[in-house]
This record gives sequence, C-alpha cells and structure tokens, in this order.
Amino acid sequence: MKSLSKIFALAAHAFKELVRKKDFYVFLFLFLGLVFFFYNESFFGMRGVSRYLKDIGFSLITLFSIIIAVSFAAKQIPSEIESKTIYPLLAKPVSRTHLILGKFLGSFFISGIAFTAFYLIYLSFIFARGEAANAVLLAQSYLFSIFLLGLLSAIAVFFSLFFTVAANLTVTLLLYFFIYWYNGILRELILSSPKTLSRLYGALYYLLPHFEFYDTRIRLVHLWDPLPAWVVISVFIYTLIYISLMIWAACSVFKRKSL
Amino acid sequence: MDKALEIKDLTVIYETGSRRKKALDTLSFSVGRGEIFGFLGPNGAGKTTTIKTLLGILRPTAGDVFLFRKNPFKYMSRQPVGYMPEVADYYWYLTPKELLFLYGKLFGIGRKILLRRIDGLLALVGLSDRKHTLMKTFSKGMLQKISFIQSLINDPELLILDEPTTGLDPIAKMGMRDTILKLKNRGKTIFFSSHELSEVEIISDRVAILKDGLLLKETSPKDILDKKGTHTTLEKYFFELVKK
Repeated sequence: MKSLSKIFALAAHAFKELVRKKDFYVFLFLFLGLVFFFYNESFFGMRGVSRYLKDIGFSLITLFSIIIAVSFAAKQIPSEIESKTIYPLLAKPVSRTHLILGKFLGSFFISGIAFTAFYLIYLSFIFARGEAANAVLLAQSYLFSIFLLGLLSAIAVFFSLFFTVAANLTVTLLLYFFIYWYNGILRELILSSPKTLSRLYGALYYLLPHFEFYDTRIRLVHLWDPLPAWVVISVFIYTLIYISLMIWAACSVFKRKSL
Repeated sequence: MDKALEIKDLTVIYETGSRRKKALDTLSFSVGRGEIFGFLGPNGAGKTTTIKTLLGILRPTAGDVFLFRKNPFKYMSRQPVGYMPEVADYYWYLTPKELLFLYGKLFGIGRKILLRRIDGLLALVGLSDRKHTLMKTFSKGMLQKISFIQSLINDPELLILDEPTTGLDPIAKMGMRDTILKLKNRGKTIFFSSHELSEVEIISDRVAILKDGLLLKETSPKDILDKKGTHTTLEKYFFELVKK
C-alpha cells in the first residue's frame, strides 16, 4: 500500500510539471486554432467535406497526444539526472522500480488527460456540426487511443535510459510511423523471403509493437460497425503485456545504471 | 557505542571504456549514534562517491556499507536517513511546500503531520512567507536552505549533508550550525562533508580526512588541537596532511 502511495506521489508530481510547464497548452491552443479554421466550411467551398474534417481532426488529436506522451515520458528520467534531483529522490525510501513506475504513470496520465481534453473538443465539434456518430465506436476509439498512449509512454520511458530526449523522441516517433505504415510490407516479406530471412522477419514482426491495432480512424470516419468485445479485450491484454514487458525491461536496466 | 553507519574496505572503481579510476580505496570507518562526523578532503577525494554509496545510489566494487546495520541498497533501510545533496536544481515549477510535501509522501508520512512539519521547517529557515512562491524566483542561498530542510522532513535519525554551507551567508551558516548542534542534542547523528574547516572544527566530534580515495586520518578535532606547538588549527593540520 505504501509502495502504491509513493508511486502515485511521483506520478502526481509529473502531472504538476505538465500543468506548470505549459507544454500542453501550446498543443491545446494550436488544436483549437485548427478546429476553428476547419469549422469554417467555406474554406473548402463545398459541402460533403465532413468526413475529411472528422479524419483530419482525429488524426490531429492523436498526433498531438502522441507527441505529448513521448516527449514527456522521454524527459522524465534524463531531466532528474541532469538537474541532480535524482539523488535526493533515490536517497528517500524509494526504489528505482518505484521511480520508473511513477514516471511512467505520470506520463501516461498526462497524455491521457491531454487526449481526453482534445477528444472532448473534437466531439463537441462533431456534434455541433450535426455529424452522425456511433457512441460505441466513439468510446472504442477513445479507449484504443488511451491504450496506444500507454504503450508509447512505456516505450519512451525505456528508451530514455539509453537516449537523449531529442534522440528518444525521434526514435520512438520513427518506430511508431515505421510500424504504422510499413507493417504490411513486413508481413509480405515473411511470406516471400527464404526460410532463414523469413524467420528473422517473423521474429521482428512479433517483437515490434503493433501500433496498427489501435487505429480506429477509418472505422470512425466511415461509420463502420463497432468492434466486437473480444477484439477490444484482446487489444487491451496485448497492450497490458507489452507495457509490462517494457516497464520490466526499463526497471532492470535502471537498477544497473550508474548514476 | 551503537553504529549509525559503517563502511568496511569500501572500494569504488569507475570504468569508462578502457579507463579505470579508483575513486575509493579500501575505505573503512564508522560513525556512532549521536555523533557529528566531519568528512574532509580536497576536490575529487571521493567524499561524494562515499555518500552516494552510503545512500545505495552507487554500487561498490568491493567492500560493505551499512546504515543502522542494514544494507542501504534495500530501499526501506533509508527510512531513518535524511540527505542534503551538494548541488540539486530543485524543480523550479514547484513551491517549497509542494517539494516538501512530495518528499514527505515518499517517506510515507501522513498528510496532517506532514503539513505541520512543513510549516515548522519553513519557519526554521525563515521562509514561511515564501511557502507558496515558485522556487524559480529563489536565490542560491534560499535554495540551499530548502535543500537543508528537505533533508529533515522525515525527522531523520541520521543526517547526511554534502557541503551544506555552500552558498550561504554568514548568518545562515551560523543558523545551520546551531540547528545541527540542536539535532545532535536530540540524539541525532550527523555525517557531513565540508570545505569549511573552521565550521568542522567547531561542531565535529570526529573527522575523517580523505585524499585520492584513501583515508589519511580519522581523529577528533580536540586531539589535533591538543597537540599545541605542532598544529594549532584543524585547517593547518589538514593542509599539512593533504600536501604530503
């Protein structure tokens, strides 16, 4: 119980950092500006662009939330080391595992809250325009985005033990977009390559996180049917396992890291 | 005397690529409960490395360290310990109250007790009126005071201070010295590193002098001062010993 309260204290501290450092507000105002811009339908000079607006809007809030999640998670541990505040922290009855968990949870909450705020604005925008929307699908899209942010936060926390903040941000975002866009090619390579290479590609395929699982954008824009419950549960379990593995790896590395 | 901290044959070697640097070489000494122990040495002598090892932040290459007979690498053994680092850029976006609250929570202190303790500690260093001010506006001396009181948030049995008087004006230095003596009177143990030899001479029961990771001398300032004619102050003694 005491361990949990320590982890939450560290997470709450990370949250306070977001509120005070105002990074989030920059994205919020940028998003609001873009929403206002797109809301003016005459900009396109035609009707029937609502799908594109829904598409662009959802892509934007996902992108902004991803940047917040990754950039925030990437700097948590390095900034403690750089400012030397890591020493008074670790001199307390706090383990390195507590610190990693607290930092991960803090980053995850922050990006989750940022996404929630963006999503609420996005929904108001959709409803204000009288767009059709499926409540279950909207809820699923929200959940999947939150899962994705958790996964990216965990990956960025792990990478933060090896890379500088800028390098971490680049590597994590490249990894995200690479997998998101080229996952299909990897699948084709597994099928078309010689046996040894195919195994290698296969290992890579299962080792890399499947970010495409979390993409509900097309479904949301084109008003497809909601996903069955077993898919949502499976993706949730997959996310949980992947996050646990990344956090476990981060704790193992951090325990051995010289400070 | 019961030991608050104990170091046995402590060796720390830093390895960067093919380079190896011995930061501490078979260092051994102990500090009894209720003692004020001064830890002296020129820059790079290994004082901060010793402190990091004592706090379980740095793993020794060889040897053992104990805090109240417990292994400091088990995080709960640090429950009765307060630590003030030599330098720390405390979170500028927090107020002193928020910083102390965070650290208090990490010790598992209840909210009510914690808030009372925070008020008392801020009053101790004369910063009560700044408790809701963001620390980005604080001077170096004010931050040093905050750093000192954060080490007291858990009412520690053992206080480890790394260069505590750096950046303080003479009045604040005197205030800190008085607080340290008051803590000793309450049975607390204080282990501190310092370059302020006159301060060390006044308040320490015993001192250890370190150079290049080796323990040159462990003694009491009184013993040094008793040898009149040879050495008159701890400062002179220190310079002669370190020059050799």
